[in-house]
Amino acid sequence: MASGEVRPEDGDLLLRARNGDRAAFSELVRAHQNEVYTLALRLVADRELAADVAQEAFVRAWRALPRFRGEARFSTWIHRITVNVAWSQRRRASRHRADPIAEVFEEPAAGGLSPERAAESADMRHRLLDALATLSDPVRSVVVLKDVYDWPHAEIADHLGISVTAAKVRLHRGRRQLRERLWDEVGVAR
Amino acid sequence: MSLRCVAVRLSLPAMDRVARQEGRLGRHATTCLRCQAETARYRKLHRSLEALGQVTEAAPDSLLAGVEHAIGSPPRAVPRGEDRFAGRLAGIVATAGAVAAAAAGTAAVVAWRRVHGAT
Repeated sequence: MASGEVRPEDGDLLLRARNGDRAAFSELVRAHQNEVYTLALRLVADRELAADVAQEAFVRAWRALPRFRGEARFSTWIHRITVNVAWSQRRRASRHRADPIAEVFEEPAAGGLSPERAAESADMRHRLLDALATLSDPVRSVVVLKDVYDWPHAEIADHLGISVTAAKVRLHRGRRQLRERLWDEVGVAR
Repeated sequence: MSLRCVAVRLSLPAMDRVARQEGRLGRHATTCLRCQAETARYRKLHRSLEALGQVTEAAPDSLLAGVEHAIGSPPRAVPRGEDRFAGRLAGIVATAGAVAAAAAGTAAVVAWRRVHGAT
């Protein structure tokens, strides 16, 4: 489910979870685990670390539930926690190297596309994921949050503890590096 | 590559939506195949990044189990103030109980001494 969709049933589950109902919280985890894991994977570009980040994000959310006043949707809230956890864990595990993730990338339904276009699109996604994995963590975080998840510059800067100008500089650098890695200097796709 | 080509190349990564450029650079880009190709690459990059946001990866099966294991104890849903009040109340009840027990013990000792003193 996309993060923007509303899940009306979250309200009841949240209420029960806030009162200590672990089964209700498990239902919330079940409903949001794929989105949270995907966000973590895009940010850290490492499946094992992404699973750790997602788990830690849910555990922090559980502990913070009594303070969650429902001003934002649960999905928005858990995404913010995930970004914070990813950022702190990636810094801690800075020696951990990123693995290529393309070989296990799950293909979305290619409805409406010709086989040639679908193959081309899938190939582009694989190359893009590989190129993203080669970016430095600070640069990749900004590119993912802005260009994949469409976060505003100010929110990205706030979550990463940097200035808006620094966020824009990293974004500029990241896009340029992606362009260079996806196409060589004469413009031929690798 | 002309200076205008360089200027177009430098401006493209800063654009959130790669739109048609205005002014001199825009006019240059309409006639320069190199700049048109470069603009098309950035458009494709933006589209591909945006499309990535629509793809969801399946979380590993161990994720839910790991969370459930980690949250073995329920969260503290009671505000700290109420916690303190409850603690104080429990203390008062315990003290009262201890005083009552001590009084009962003293009374028992006094009664025993009376009985044994009388004999």
